[in-house]
Amino acid sequence: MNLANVDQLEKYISVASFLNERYLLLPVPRTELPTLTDIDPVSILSLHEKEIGQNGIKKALQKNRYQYDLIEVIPKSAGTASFAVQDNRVDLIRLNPALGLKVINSRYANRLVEESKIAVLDLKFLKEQNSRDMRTCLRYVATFGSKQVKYLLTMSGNGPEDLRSYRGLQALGRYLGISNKATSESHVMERIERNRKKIDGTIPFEGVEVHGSED
Amino acid sequence: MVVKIERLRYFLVEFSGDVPEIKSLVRDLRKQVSSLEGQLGLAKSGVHVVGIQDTFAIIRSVHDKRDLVESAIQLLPYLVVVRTVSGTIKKINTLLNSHFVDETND
Repeated sequence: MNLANVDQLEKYISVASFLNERYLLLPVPRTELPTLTDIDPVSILSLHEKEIGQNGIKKALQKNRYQYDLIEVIPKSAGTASFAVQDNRVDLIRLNPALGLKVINSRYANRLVEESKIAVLDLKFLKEQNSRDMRTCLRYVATFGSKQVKYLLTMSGNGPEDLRSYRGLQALGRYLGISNKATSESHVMERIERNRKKIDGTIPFEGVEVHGSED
Repeated sequence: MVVKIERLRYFLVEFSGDVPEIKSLVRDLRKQVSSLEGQLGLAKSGVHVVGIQDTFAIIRSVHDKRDLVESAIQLLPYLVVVRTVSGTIKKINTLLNSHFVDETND
């Protein structure tokens, strides 16, 4: 789940505990994360190309590389979609219906799998009854077909009342034809653990992991 | 021998905050199923609200339309979560009773 307004944090936390969720994604840096007992807060940075442009995304990535557990890019153009899938600092790429099938095609699916990126699918079109976006997203899913793309399902809303359990989102995904295996929460958890190790210095380079100390 | 024509699924659903009346819950649920699959899908789904107890509701549907009805529940305009799905109402009632027993013990 993603937070739009940090001021309503307590409300979001109570809703998350009602939904039995273990993780809560907060749009704040790691240093500003609150300490919670039952829920593990995860810091996420969402970079919208629409708001800051491609150069803005590049600058933000340089600046915030070690500040957040997860970094999501929401591309609006083919150029940004292409650069985001190649960049090691990016974890999540949102499948924007504005991109169309010329960009989000089977070749792009191959790149997503090769670079082990997670595709974020926002299911708000179901709530808004926006059949136009729904058709585009269903065609993305059909194009990805048997490519074993990993998905993260979300449903953005206006407040904490719009939050849904991840199991519920998986039910919506199953209804649209995406398997539970493809939308498994564990993909994102692994990514978060790996990023935290990178930031802590346990993984100094890709493929090298330091266990214990020399003392 | 009694032969079952179709298998059923029962959803134990919990609401947070204000619990809707059974009438409005049925109306909203039917509206959501209808918007997803139309009148034919609504007829085939066999969606039915068995009852509301405290903050919980039991919803029944046909096994084949489980994903449709679970999706429709997620699209309801309330803060709602599906706690469990079962093939028998007996199990749902057992879970419900155990929840209330735990609450009174606390």
